[in-house]
Amino acid sequence: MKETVPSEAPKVIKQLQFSLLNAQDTVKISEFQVTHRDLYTPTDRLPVKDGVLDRRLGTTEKNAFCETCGLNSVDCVGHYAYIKLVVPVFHIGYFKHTIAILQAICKTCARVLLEEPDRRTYLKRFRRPGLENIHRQALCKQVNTMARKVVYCPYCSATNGAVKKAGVLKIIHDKFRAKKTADEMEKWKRTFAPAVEAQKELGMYLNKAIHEDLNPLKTLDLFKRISDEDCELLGLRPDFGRPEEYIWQYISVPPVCIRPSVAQDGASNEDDLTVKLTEIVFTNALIKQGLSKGAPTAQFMEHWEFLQLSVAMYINSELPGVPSQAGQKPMRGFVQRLKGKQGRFRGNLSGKRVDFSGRTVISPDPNLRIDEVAVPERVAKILTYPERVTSHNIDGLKQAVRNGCDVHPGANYVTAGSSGFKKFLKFGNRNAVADSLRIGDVVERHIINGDIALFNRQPSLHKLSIMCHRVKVRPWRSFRLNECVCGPYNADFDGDEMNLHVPQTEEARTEALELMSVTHNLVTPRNGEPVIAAIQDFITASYLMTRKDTFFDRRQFTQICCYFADADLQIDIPPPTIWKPIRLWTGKQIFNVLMRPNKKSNVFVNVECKCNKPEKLKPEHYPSIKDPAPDLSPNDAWLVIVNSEVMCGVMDKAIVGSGKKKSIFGIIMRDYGPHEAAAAMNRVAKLCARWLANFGFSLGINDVIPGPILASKKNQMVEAAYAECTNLITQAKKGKLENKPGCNQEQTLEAMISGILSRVRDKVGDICMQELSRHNAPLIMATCGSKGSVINVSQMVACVGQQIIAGHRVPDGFQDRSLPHFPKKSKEPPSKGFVRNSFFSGLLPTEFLFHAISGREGLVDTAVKTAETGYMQRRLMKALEDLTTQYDLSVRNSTGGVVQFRYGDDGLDPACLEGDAQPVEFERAWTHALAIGNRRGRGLLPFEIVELVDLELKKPKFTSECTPAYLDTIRDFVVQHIAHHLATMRKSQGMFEALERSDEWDCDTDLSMGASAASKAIVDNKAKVTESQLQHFLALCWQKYVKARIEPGSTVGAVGAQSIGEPGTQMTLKTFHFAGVASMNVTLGVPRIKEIINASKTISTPIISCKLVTPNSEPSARIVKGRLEKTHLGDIAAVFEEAWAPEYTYIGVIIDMDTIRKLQLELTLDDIKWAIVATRKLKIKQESITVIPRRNRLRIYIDGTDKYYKLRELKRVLSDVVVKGVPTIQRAVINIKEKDDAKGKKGDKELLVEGYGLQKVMTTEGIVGEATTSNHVIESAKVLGIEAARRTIIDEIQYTMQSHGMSIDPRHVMLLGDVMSYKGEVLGITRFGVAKMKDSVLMLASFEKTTDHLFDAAAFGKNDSIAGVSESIIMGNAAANCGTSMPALFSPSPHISKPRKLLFEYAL
Amino acid sequence: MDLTLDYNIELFPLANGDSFAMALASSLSRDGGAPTADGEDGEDKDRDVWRPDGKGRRGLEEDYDYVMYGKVYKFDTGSSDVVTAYASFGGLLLSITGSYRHLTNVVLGDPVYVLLRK
Repeated sequence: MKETVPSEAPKVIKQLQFSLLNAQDTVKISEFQVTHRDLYTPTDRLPVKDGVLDRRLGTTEKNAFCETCGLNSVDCVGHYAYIKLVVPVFHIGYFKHTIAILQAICKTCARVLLEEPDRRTYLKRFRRPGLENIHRQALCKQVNTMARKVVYCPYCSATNGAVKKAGVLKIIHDKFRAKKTADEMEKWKRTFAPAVEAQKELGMYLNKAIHEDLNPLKTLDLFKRISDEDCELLGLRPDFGRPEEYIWQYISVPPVCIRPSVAQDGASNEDDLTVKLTEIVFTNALIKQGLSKGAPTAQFMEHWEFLQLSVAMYINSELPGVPSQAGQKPMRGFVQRLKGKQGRFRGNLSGKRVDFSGRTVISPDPNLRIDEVAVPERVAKILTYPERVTSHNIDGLKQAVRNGCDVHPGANYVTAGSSGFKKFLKFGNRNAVADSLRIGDVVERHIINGDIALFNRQPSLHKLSIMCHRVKVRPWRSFRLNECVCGPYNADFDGDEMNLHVPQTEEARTEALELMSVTHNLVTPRNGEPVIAAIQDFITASYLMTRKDTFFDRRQFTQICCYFADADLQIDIPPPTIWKPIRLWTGKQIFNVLMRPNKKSNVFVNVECKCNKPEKLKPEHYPSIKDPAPDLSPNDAWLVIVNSEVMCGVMDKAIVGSGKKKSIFGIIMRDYGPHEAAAAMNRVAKLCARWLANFGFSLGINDVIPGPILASKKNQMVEAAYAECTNLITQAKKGKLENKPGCNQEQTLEAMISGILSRVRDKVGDICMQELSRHNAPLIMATCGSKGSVINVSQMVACVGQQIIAGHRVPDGFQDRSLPHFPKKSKEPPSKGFVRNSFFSGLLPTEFLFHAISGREGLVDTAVKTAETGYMQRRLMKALEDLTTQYDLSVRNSTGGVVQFRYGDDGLDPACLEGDAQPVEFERAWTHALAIGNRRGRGLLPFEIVELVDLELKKPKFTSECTPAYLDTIRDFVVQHIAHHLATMRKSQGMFEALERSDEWDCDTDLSMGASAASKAIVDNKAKVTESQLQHFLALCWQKYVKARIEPGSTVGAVGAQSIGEPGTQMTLKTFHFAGVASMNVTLGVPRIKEIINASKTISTPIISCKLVTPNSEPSARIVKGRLEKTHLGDIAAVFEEAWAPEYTYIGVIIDMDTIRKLQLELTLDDIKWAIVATRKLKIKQESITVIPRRNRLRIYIDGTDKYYKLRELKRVLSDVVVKGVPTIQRAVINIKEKDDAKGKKGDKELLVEGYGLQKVMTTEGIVGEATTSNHVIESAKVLGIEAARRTIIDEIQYTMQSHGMSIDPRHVMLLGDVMSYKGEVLGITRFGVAKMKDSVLMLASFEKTTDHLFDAAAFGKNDSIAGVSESIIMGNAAANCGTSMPALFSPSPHISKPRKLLFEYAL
Repeated sequence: MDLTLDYNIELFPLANGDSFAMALASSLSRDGGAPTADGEDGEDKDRDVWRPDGKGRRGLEEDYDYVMYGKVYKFDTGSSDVVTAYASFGGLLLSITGSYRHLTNVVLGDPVYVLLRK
């Protein structure tokens, strides 16, 4: 049935214009004026007429009706009234703006205090079309600062002084503040002379009167006189609000429905707003009475001030400067209603309550598919989907209607298509309803198997926290999901609850299914690694099954094959591995069948990678093999799969688990699509759950009892370590320990002891792995990676190890010792928190306490971190939410500002990348092509390979879709790895290389140069390439590239923000060690990420790393170090002496030239003299210092009356004078590079400088300035510019993430870097930075400082074009410019003449 | 020639110093010996077939105590005359190292039988 096309298109709010509510409008929208302060009549408790609860405003009582519209409390929308204030009052929201305007205008003639030329230029600038918020603010500020400096008004020559806030709602004008107006002030004061003479007391107040009080009346008068043009100069838009509207003369009384009264047995409880309004009405009446009766001025002023305060409290009850009454619950003004997490913006507009949702406890069920969720029947009976009746589903829906609300596949409501009448199916004759069901009706039926639902677990940190599942209706009470899907939700089953939402339209269902379904979200967009994969027991089972010694006979094998599928799958049993004496299959063959169950399946997995705990093979065990393949790994930890046949390797975490691109699910997904991968995962889940339940896997006390060898070895090692530590301590006591670079004796000792002790634990762990039985459950779990680590095992079995608190060993809680059980100043391992016992053997009381301290630190750390990262995530999201890719693949924000010209420089989607930030992993693609391509037929010659590739890559298929750079990488790979490989093979067997085609050859030329058959065979075996294989390879390269391109409309900003924020929640430990230097710690983890994205001015560990001109010489490095590091006078002075004589007094400084030489400082006595003079604090003039070069002396003469104290003070501070180096630098450490990088090779010396001052360091002699980098974003921006700052942001975030073992695709980080720098200055992701990035008022209001932004918007008459994500959500629009709402039809707009303005339009 | 082999020691126990006979074959049929790499398609199809009822192309295994079936999947990539070939029998590995002249009949991707006898 074709639906009728509605004649009116649905209305969409396109923009929002903010303006001020002026007095006229206030009255216009009102029904009446409020004059009465009472709420209810005393007799019958009805609302008082003309009071603030008047029935004409609507009603909140159930049995009453509104007197304006006659509707009841549910249907009446409410009506307004007004209060006419006798005297104007300041509006607290616009108070700042009021002051700012007063500062900029002449307090006499009300014109803006700018000279005519300035005025014109600024006016021009303000009128520039498309002026952005950030620029307008800057202009306003400029005008304000310029105008404030003006003393004499250029138009009326009146004197103007400073305008400032005095008290809560008081503005004063300090007219004669400028020095040059002193005369005027005197003149002004003299005018009071006669008055003072008449009344002596007045003289005391004269000085107070200089400050002119700019009360609301005066201000109003001034504001009214500001011309419209001047308004523009002040940044206002006079059409939408003039400054006089900042001041309230009429107060609008809102309808009662927004401030309901709550009746409580006889008395009623009134809303705070109602209370405040009565207060205002009352005070207003008092003032009116006073004015008419002629009350004293002081009383009037008091009332006025009280009225002002009441009005201010009505708007914002949290006024700074107004003390809140303790014990009383704070009042809620309008501002408080909007503000905060529970406020209107964040609580009701950005996030709304929804229907058709459910929440309950979750539990696991491996028998479900990964894209299914089991919904309890009782939930399914409440959640419904409105299905329209068609000829196809009418029978089913009739049955559903008959079943009604209480029987499961039933229905709750029926809406007739013709009348729109909705019937509830709980009551009435359902059979009749079912019989009369017609096509076109809508049945709200219960959800049934196969329906679509969104499943969510909080905190929703990334897009994978809400995914689309298929419903499976099941008995009992919990939502159930396949354990493989725990990863993205971060769910476990210790009582977690999850939410379920049922989309209500076909469009929503389709969109959910295509974009959010589990199968389409197997990989995280953070870096393209799979997140949905086997976990825990599934991994254990896979591992146990695929070990080399697992064999199954035919019965077992077929039984296991039946485990992993439903009965609808054809399974072809592979040939057995052992044919004789009995037929046996190996465990690995189970996985062959699992990946490719039958001959019809075309899933050919080809992969080669290392497993979870790779153990390197020892070449000496294979003396005959030169360079043995890793396949021969002693613990079978190298996986090779050829055409879905496992050749070697165990199925552990790295192979079936999450987080590895080369896991089999990752490979199947990339090569054969997500549905095949999901199917394989379903099979693994079923297989492992069922097999392991039979096989059995449990952990008992026997598993953690160490054997005699293990126990004795562990004891030996601990004793040895203790002895070593004691030895070090004695050495340190004697001071014989050689200091590590940048460390003192104590730090060196600590570092060395820590090293020894942590090595002990590692070694004990290794022994555990060797000594424990291979059937030991914890050991199995640690090796296959399903749960726990080697350290966890060794802590249970052997030794708990050193307890760390705040990055150090346990500190002293008592005097000079950690606990009174130990001798004072003891540094022995046991007294500093080393636990030598295991959890099995039991901890000593002291050890137990240390362990508890460390444990608590961990708990506190996590608690603090969750709050911190949550906020960080929110800020990132707000800053990046509206960035999307456009049809030209550029990244723009909602206002159209370009952030990147091409997303991530190459326009590729991080979620679709197979290699390490590359679309194709060539090596694997090649092996895959070799395996799936036909190996039979003629092998190509090297030159044929190259020619074929060149020919293919020139075809339009490639040239139109791929970038030239990508095509080059393909060609390079083919030439280097395939053609050259073949050529070298041929050469080694004495054949012709044939890398290039030669004209001399014809079809008869023997290019093998008569090589033997054996030679040909071996070349073929090692390097044969057929055309089919090569074509397969090229097809793969093309396909993967095309698939990896980002789609226009992708919300790259949101995904990027999530990709950076989500791993933040997983970061543990506050600090890390800096590579190479023991003492130089850099902040890492969440604090560091916070510093970077906040664009902090001061960071906790600023480090500049410098390349040296001569990187291989230690002495020259020391010289450079000396140039940078600050040297105090005290460091190089041998003696400070006082000299007292009748005629002179001086401090003599004897410089130890020997030390200077040893330190290789380039320092002369004159330098020192000038350094002293340059130190301002000392106030020493250069003539009072004499230098005696021969005796290396300096004399500082002191004169004056209090010589003694001066000299003493000087002597004290003199030793801290910096005579050499950069004062902002804390220290510099020479570091030896551990590996090659862009700045040098391994073993080179580099200088790490702790502190600020990049510019000074770069220009220091001996340092390569071009290769000097700082980790301080702001400093990089200041010294090197915005591009350098962007690079620093990107590098630093990547470095921080990497050092926590987290990989993030560079594209996300790049986007963040670009967002922080695309405005030309480094903007932090904070409220200040975000306010500069975005123009949308609603977006900013929903972020932070809600009301400030709203008041600003009204005051400046801002306009919000509802283009971004937040605004669209708030207005209820579809998110503009992204995703599925981006495609649109273009048609030239029809020409419509401008409508004539109606004559009396403004009167409406 | 050097050889390493994983095998089931419970089914075929060997002690240090024991001597045994071993054969590598690409088919169990006694007739044409091993069909070489460029065998015809029809023959090729048969090669991967095994029959649970014990019929099919057999014969050679009668002379041996222990028979495994697997696949040659890898050759080393070096360019010396000594070559190593790797075969896998359902995860049990065989590596055979020797001069390329002796490994002519070992073809990458081909099935292979290992037959052992004391």
